[in-house]
Amino acid sequence: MLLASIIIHAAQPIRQERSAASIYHLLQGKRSAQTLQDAHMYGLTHLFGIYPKLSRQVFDKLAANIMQEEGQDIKKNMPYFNGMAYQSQTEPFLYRLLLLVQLLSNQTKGENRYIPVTDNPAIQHWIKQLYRQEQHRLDDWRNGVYEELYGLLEELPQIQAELFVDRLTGYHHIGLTTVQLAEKYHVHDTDVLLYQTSTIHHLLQHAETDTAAFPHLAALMDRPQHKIRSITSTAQKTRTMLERGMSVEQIALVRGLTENTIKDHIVEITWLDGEALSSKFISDTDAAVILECAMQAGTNKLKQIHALLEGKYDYFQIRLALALRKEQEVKA
Amino acid sequence: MNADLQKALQKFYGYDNFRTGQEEILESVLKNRHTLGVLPTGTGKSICYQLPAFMRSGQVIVVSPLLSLMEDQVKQLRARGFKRVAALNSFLDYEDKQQIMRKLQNYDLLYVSPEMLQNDYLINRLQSLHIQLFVVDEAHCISQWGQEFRTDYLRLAEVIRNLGNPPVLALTGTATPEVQVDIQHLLGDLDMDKHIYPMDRENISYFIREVQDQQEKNETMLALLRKIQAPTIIYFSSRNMAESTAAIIRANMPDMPCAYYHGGMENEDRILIQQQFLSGQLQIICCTSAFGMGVDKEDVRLIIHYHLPSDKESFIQEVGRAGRDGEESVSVVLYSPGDWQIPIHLIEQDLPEQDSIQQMLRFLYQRVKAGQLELPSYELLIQHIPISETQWRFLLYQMEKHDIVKGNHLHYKANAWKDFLDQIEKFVGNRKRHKLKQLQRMKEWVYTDSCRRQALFADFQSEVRPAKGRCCDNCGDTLADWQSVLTNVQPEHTGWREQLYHLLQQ
Ligand SMILES: Nc1ncnc2c1ncn2[C@@H]1O[C@H](COP(=O)(O)OP(=O)(O)O)[C@@H](O)[C@H]1O
Ligand SMILES: [Zn+2]
Repeated sequence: MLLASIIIHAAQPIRQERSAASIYHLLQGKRSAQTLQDAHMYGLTHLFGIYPKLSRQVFDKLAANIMQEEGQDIKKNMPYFNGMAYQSQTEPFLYRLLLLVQLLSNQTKGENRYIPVTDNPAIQHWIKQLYRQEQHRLDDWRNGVYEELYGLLEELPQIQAELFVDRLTGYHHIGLTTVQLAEKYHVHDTDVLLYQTSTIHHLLQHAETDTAAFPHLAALMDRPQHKIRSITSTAQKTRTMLERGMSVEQIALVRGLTENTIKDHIVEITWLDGEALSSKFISDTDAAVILECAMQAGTNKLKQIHALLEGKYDYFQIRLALALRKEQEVKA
Repeated sequence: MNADLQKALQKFYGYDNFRTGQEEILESVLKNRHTLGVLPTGTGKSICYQLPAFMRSGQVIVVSPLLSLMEDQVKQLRARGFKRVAALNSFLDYEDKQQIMRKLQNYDLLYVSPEMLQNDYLINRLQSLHIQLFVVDEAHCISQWGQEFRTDYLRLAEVIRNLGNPPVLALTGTATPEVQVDIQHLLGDLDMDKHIYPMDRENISYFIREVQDQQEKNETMLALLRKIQAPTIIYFSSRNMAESTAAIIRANMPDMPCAYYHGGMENEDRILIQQQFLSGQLQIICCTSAFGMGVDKEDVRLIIHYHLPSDKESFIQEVGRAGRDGEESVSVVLYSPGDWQIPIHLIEQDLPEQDSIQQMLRFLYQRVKAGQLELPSYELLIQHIPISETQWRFLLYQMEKHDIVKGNHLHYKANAWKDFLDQIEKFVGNRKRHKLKQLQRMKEWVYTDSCRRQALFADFQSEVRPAKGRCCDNCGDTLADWQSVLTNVQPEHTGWREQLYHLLQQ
């Protein structure tokens, strides 16, 4: 079962230090500073938010066994995920694509009476706009979408391509539900959704990095940079205020939040943006000292590091240093 | 024939002729008469109010308790290019509701759920419109003798008055003479033109197979499916049974694509399954009563009742989904003696127990004494008293009627509360007895040895037409010589490449 392998994979680095619930929040994409930090700290950003609808019960049942047994085989070909980059785009992109395929397939047969596969008004509106602009080039779209999908699905394991295409609805052909797909391909319901997410991430990744080769799929993506949007909007506000030169105390006061919350925001932003902001709060040398200590002790536990350094640095600084680590590793 | 009407039918729907009753009802409506229309389900009641909405100025308001049906119709109308239509119901979130309510004049046809009509703001907004027609769909719900009594329907008379008495069209697919009288009375003693059409169907035959247990039921069902080999709906009274039986059918009959459908599924999946059935990708649907409303498939040949509904009206409606194209079709009830427990249980569940009514009143009284006059929310209430949300809404309505609840507040008067308790207990007792009686009639129909067609429809119409083909098992008919006409199942595409090509390149 794919979900189980993913949990095992995530449990590997996390198990010692964080609870199973943190994996749940990670997969489910909880937009909290803590979860975002976990994702970065344990190198699990690709799994962030890959399963927003994951039920707590299903998770708990699986996780109970997994968290106990150590050192299981994790090198089962893990499908491609890039949750941190794409989680907020996955669903809109998927539904735009589904609705677009339905439209193109029906339109070429001159059929315009069909029930749209999604009720979501925002998606319907989006596709309607596209239709208005592009109605004279629908054949290009149809061929373009076909070729781009064909090429990118070719690169995936067969199961993923099958699951994806069977879900598409078009002229006189209605896509299958999750339950039907699970039955047809003998996989678990949850895995149908995970494979689907993986497929979408795969499409998104190519559409984003090679827009020239995949112009039609790229057009279905959201325009604004996803990097900014993966920061919680409240942290984003804090960043703006810091950039305007306000202090932590001032921001806390103005926003009616505690200073600790503001510090959480700063750590969160540091995970994503590196030292741009953190340099105001911790120097390079101090960060290096803390990271050295963490590495030698082989831990990410704040309390332990705090004690080892005999209280010279506060928790905030330690968290910032850990957040910077990835940056430095990359530089090195 | 009225040439204008026919032209409009052609123009808006592309149909050449009206079906029985449609024209008569439309003529009455266009003369602004209050109208009661009883048309068998599936013959096209909706045209009777949609056409006026397209032909004339002014709004048509349609009250319907069937939310999914409402959504379906709006979708279908939009798919046909009628955009000035909307549905107001609890499916919508706050924003969307507000948006529709602010722009009511943009819609010629507005579906609303009965509970939305409790919204004063909406009534206010409606009062500013020119309502050309107020439609009460599924009008039998207003009568406690109808199979689906809805307390919020009782308020419709008041709503109609508040809207300045626009012409009313009450529609139902099923109503005994008793219920017809009730509808007229409860809508405010309107002077109505009545157009009642028979609901028997000449092309459906009726069979009952008695079995001893579930295993035999399944075997009988499978044999039947193999025999008829055509689009089939199988009705269950529980979601789980619908699911598990669908799995059994799939395992035994891989050539007959089968899926389940019930109200517990996500909306998106429901649309897919429904569309698969319509398009012929699925041959068999295992479902609860949630399926079928608004599902307009002409060539359903077989309706199986794995479980029976608790009254004949529901049964007639469900069976009526077969053979809309006029071709011979079959109803088969699979019946085992233990089956009656389920509907009895459901009836009990629908109405509050005497105990819980007393408990609730005691709880409310405590609050009054403590000076908390505000009505508790349902969420709070269930922490103390075991009642369902339907039961609570029912009681709430009754308390308002007895002036125990006004607006959002409790009013305590010892006498009124005492009266309320007596009356409500009597009322609930009556309802239960009535429902059990309905169930008893259903049961008698199963055990009858006279013609099933006659026995099924005799309560509803004075004359029952003879069958066109087979009639029923009691008349000596069988399915032994049934010739299945194989409907062409869609070709399976092998592999995703071919399928993608088929979708986008063919
Ligand atoms: N005059 C007609 N000719 C052909 N088809 C019709 C006619 N009137 C209605 N229909 C079709 O019959 C189906 C059932 O109509 P609907 O109004 O949903 O039935 P009801 O509400 O009575 O169950 C619809 O698909 C409708 O388009
Ligand atoms: Zn007979």
